[in-house]
Amino acid sequence: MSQMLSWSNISSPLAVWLMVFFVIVFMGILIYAAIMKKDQVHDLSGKALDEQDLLLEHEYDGIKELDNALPPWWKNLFYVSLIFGVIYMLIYHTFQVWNLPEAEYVKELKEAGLFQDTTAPESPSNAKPVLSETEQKESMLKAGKQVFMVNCVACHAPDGGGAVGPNLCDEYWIHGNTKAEIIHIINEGVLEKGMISWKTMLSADRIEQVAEYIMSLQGTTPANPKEPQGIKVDKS
Amino acid sequence: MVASVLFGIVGMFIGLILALQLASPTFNLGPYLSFGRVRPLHTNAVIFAFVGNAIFMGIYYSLPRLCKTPMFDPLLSRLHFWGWQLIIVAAVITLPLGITTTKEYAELEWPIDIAITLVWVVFGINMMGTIFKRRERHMYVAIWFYIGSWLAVAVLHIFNSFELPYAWFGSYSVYAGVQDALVQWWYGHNAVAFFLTTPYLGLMYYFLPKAANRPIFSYRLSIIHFWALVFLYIWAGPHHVLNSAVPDWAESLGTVFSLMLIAPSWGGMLNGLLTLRGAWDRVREDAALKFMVVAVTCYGMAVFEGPMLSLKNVNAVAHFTDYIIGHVHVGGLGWNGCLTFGILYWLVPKLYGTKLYSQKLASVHFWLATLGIILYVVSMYFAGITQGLMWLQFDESGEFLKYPNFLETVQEIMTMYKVRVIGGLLYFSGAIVMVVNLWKTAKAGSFIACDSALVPTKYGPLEVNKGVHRKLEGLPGLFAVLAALAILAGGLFELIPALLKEFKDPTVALVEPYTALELEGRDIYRKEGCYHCHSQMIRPFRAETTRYGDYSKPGDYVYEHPFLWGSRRIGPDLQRVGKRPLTAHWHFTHLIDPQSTSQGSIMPPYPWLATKPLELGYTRAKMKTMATLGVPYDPYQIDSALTDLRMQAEGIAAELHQADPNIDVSQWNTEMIALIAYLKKLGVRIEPAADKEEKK
Repeated sequence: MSQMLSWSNISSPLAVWLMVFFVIVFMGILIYAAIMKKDQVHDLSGKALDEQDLLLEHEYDGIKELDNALPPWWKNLFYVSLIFGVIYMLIYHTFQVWNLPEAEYVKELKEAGLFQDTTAPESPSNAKPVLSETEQKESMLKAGKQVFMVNCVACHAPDGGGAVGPNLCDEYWIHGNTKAEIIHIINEGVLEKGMISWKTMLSADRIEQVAEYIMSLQGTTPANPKEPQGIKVDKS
Repeated sequence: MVASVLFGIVGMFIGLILALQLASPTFNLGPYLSFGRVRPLHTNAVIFAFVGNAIFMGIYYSLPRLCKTPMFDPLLSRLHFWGWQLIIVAAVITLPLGITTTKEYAELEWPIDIAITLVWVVFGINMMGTIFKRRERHMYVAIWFYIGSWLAVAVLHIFNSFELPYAWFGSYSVYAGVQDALVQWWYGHNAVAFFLTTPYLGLMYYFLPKAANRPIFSYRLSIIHFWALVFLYIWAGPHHVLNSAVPDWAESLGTVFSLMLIAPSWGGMLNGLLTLRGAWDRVREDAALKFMVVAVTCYGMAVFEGPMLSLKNVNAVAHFTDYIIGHVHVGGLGWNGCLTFGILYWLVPKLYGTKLYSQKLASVHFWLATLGIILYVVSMYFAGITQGLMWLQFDESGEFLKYPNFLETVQEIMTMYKVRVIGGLLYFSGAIVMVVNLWKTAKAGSFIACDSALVPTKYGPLEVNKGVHRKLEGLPGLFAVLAALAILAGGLFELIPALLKEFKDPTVALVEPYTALELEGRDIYRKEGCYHCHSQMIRPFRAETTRYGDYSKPGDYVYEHPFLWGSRRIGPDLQRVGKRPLTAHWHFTHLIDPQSTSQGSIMPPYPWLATKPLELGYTRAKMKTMATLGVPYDPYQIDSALTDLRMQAEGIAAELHQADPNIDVSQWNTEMIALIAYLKKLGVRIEPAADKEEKK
């Protein structure tokens, strides 16, 4: 609520109203002038006047000017856009019927079930539907892939072929190939080689998921595999 | 005067060739001139060299004829011409050297800014002088546009260029973060409006009826759309920073005013196209008219697109993508380019008292240009929409991004990038054809030094009782004052409240000020032009916060002199890159050879960063300047800047050495180390606990 009292919030309607006022006055003058200036020359006699009648008497370096009336569709377009502008400001800022970007973001989070309202009690939606084992595994790999794509590709390449970091697809392992060992390496890192510790950045769930995904990479053929490092471990 | 016309054309050719040649390295990332440094050169060359000189050429030709008097002072004309060319030369030298203010389309450093101001004043005196001593009672519509443009550009340039220098070729914008963004895009948008649009409308109002030999369609329409344009345009600036950390009300004003601009902009298009009524048979044959028609049509398209892109939901997809690149090239290649070509095809034979060397070649140019524009623009639209949607897409579960790896979205549009090169090449070769054609034309004739239109005649008739506006057209002084008021209104009601807010209610800082090393690193980031491809503005969309981290808030930018939000994401956003789990060694490897860490990346390599020693001579001056601008460095910190810098740099060097023994620890004072320090700092906020205390 304290945010509601900040300067920008109070004065924004003021600026908005000033603008609305300004636009209406300014455009009013323009449109009035346009309409008052002997408009509709063409239908006084009931038939369209030819060009000679519309020609203004002045000329500049040989350029003459006609005084055609404004095309009606153009005039209407202008009116509509002016009205649209005023309505837009009223909807978003004065009456706040529709969401501004930040409120829209909160809504988007809520829809995705990600909104964390710290004041609210623990939500009951944490109860997850029971999944079969294959489904569980599948969703785990999927999540693991996401984690991998966001965090690991920089060093291990999108297909796990390795770059700065080692190849994760071949049978050679530096620090062991079991799930426990992989999770350990992700948790603690190998700092002297540039692999950082992830335990403060990823939850235990996420680390398990990505470990599962890394294990699933075994036997795939990456596009540009890095040369083998570590000890060959036979498939068990 | 006549000399200036000639100079103007010569200057324009230089500008044209420059601009178009520079477009090619933009396509093929050259190893020598890297993209980040060449891109500002491309934009500056096109806007200020090519379009600028074309404007001056058009004005120096048409103004004396419309005023029935020679230019006010031939000396001023020469000063203006040579001054402007010198500024362009200065730009060509400084920008590749990395001397830049990093504000888009205003990259030139402060000494050049001052020179621009002086030359602009010279131009203004010369123009207004000519208008005041005219032998015509009333001013033609083209002159209204010239006056409006001159005034607006003067105001924009001066207010956007407030920067505090720390050395001859280095300065920091006096505005910070959100304020700087607002001022910059107020400028950036209106550079498009008052440099690329309104002067060209003025040119259109002279050259199109001349070439078509038809009267202007509607005098009344020209009055309305002129005043509406100069009044409305200025407000629309914030539409370049929609869904960002700028205040909501400013964003909404940007949206609303952009939409109101459709009709006034189309007024210009209508007046152009309808003037051709009764001359369409000639359009088929006459090269000049053909180009003008394409130009006016492209103008109509671009000014329709602009307001549509200003809607926040459309902007959410299109912003930061190639769609915008396509959009500006409709304007640049279509409107500015083709109108210039049209004018030249009409003007050059006239100046040399002969016929165009070859209508056939002109026709070839026309088709090359048209096809080039279509290929360029369509490929960019396609690339932009594809990538924009890919960034936002979640997978079926709704939980994860569909394309979490940014590079996937880049790979998807590579074909389009190739199509664009073809489009650009076609357009460029068309321009070469034109140069040959015009050269031959000029050789066939001889330059006519003076036109009969310039022989002083008696005053034109004074019209009485013809309405208020007609009277106003006879009073250039009052006219200029009113136009200035219309132009300033947008600035007064939109910018000043946003700027004053800082005094009343300063934004609470969410970040610590940069250390000496990080500040130097930031200047490397600016110098190399990293911001051309990497934005630093995470918008409040779930897709963006999932990909990049918490969305940007004003407090993230309180020390950003100038702001580095960027306008295009050729690479991923870097606002929170410091929070990403990337080691110093990763950054090191990535910067030396981006493809080694990111397969398929299109980032240019920066091997020289690792060996180039960091310039430390200005570090303290830089910090002092920042302190003057309000960054809370205490004197002790500034005094010990170099010691602190060395300590931090050695820490990073040691880390690098640990990861790769080939990297020498003694190499702590390289640009690379500073840049890494900056990158690792980006997006690291003050701990929430400390934040809360500050609020209390």
